[in-house]
Amino acid sequence: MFEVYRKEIKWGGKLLTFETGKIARQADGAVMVTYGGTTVLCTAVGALTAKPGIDFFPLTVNYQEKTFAAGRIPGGFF
Amino acid sequence: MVFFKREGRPSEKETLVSRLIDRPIRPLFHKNYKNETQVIATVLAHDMENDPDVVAILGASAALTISGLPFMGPIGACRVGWDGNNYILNPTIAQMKDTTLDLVVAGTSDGVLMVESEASELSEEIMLGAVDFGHGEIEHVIKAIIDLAEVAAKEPRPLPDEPKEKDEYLKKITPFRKKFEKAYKEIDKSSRSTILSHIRNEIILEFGELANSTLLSSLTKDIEADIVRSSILKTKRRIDGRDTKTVRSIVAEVGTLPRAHGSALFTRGETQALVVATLGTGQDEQIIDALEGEYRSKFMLHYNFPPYSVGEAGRVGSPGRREVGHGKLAWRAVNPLLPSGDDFPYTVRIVSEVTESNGSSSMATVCGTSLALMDAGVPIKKPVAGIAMGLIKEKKEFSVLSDILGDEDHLGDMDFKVAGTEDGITSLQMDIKITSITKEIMEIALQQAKEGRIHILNEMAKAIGSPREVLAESAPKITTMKVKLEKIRDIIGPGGKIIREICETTGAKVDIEDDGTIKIAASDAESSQAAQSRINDIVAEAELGVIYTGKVVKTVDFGAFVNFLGTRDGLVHISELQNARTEKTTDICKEGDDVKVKVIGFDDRGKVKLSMKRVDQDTGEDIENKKED
Repeated sequence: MFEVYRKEIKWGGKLLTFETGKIARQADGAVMVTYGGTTVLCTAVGALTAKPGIDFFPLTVNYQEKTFAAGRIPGGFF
Repeated sequence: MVFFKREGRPSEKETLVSRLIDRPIRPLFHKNYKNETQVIATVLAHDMENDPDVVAILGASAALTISGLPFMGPIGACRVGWDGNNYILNPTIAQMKDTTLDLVVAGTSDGVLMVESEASELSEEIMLGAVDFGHGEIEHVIKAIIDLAEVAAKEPRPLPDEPKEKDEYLKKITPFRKKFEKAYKEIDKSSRSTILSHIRNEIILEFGELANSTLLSSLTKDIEADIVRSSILKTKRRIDGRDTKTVRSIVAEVGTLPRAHGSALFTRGETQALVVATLGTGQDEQIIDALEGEYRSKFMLHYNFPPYSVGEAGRVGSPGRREVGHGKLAWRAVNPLLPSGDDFPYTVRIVSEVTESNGSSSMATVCGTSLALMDAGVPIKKPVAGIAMGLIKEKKEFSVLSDILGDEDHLGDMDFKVAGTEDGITSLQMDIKITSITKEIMEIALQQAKEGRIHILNEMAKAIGSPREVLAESAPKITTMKVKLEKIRDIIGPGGKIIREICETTGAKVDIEDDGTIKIAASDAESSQAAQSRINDIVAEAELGVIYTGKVVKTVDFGAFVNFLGTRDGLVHISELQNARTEKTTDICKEGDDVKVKVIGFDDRGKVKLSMKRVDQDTGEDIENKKED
């Protein structure tokens, strides 16, 4: 079902892994990057046609941290 | 917050990292590509060692590189630390606590595109060395992404065509070039903008309503940019008549708002910031809920850019990404100079209202913050100033511009902001659009930025050169005291009863830390002293053999209870009231009498045993010891 590609290098004494082909396959580009034990899923999508009437490049970047990444439920105090 | 168990609006960190990803990738898209594009980076796992921000830049770069979109990457990125002798590649979160540099660099293999940093007064040389070191290290990652793309990349999308009308349009616009050239000789900003908008209207009229207005405005912009750039390179004069090195005239003022704890008005040319410092207590600290755990911040800086500052009418609301980013940049510039919590127990909040803007308002905020902190009496280590710089390069020629105007922003091939003290850099931010800026050029640019910074520091010193010795009358007074750990529960009392009562009766705020440090904050000295003496009373311990003055609180058959030390009572047994035998306690003393007592021991429940007969009730002298002499 999946056509997975991986690339691993040792960088700054830790393993850096790029993986694509398994998750978020409908995005134009989707790569899971893992450095040490930190993992970020990055996706890139571009519309097929230009938006008419704008003279700037409509790029949006959203970086989001999920609290499950740290094994927590948001909002609570412990 | 407590009731919504899902991630809400973006945190400050999320907003900042979104910008950090955006800045180096934006200039690498093909200039004709105007399709709506979105990059989403989602942190799925955090090992508490490696900050996900750099990982997210790498992922964005890799995802774009294999996406088939017209992205001229890949880029790499890394974090660089400095331990005093060596650069550290991608320091862990724990290592970051001991390093004097936090620098993120991103770029292609040809050149650096972005630098973002905070440093403890490091030299230009060390900063540049860090950029260079980082750029060398990201080469490995770029190679890895290329390897991945070779097997996994999608077919590249066809590059967007040049609009077919372009040549025809260019032919028609070129005659206006002369008019623009003349207009840009006008030094005064408002008459220049009037003439410029007049010419732009003429062009639109020439083309008529059906014209491709997007193409038209971008071609016009190109011509204008070219005029300004080549004129600077040729004549070394800028659109407002300055040479490349001169900083606009500066007026610095402190104590602008008499009721604020500290305030300053910093004006540089047509850019102005009203900066206000407010002091608070431990209860005012900001609690930040980060992935790596909750922590507290004693220094906050809030930057606001109201629309009137540029003569516009607009919406006023919660801060946008730009405002958050500028605020953080100024925060980084000032943070390394703040006193430690032990030296200065106050929480500090800075608000910067940009009241006028023509470029470089974040750096005006840095200068205004330094002034306002000194006005408030915050013992910052040194004054700090910031300057926004530009760099224009055509082939071999280049010019470095100090203190750029709004009109010069984005015109340059490198926009950079440097903040620091007379001794070193605390913050360096760079955005570079071309890859041919060498280390040597950067060195010259940073040297010119340093000259500008020193000039601004001197101008600021005319208003205030060092922190005031005393805090403003209206600022809270914080006194620190230390108590034994086992006394903490006595001060807090059951369910916080005692501490609440102290706060209510004295008007002071009392914070108790786990190590027994007590911080008392009060609006005046009187209430602070009242709270201190209440706490002293609670923690004081009766010492054997010491004589105290007390008050009889109750008489009973077997003696008198005397309150002698704060809230502490002890019993004077009937046999200890006087040397002779006593029939009734009330023969000797009654409730409310002032008496002198000596501590003669403690019973097995810790209750204090007192004596009156061993003390001369008139002089307070110890009679017992005398007898022995």
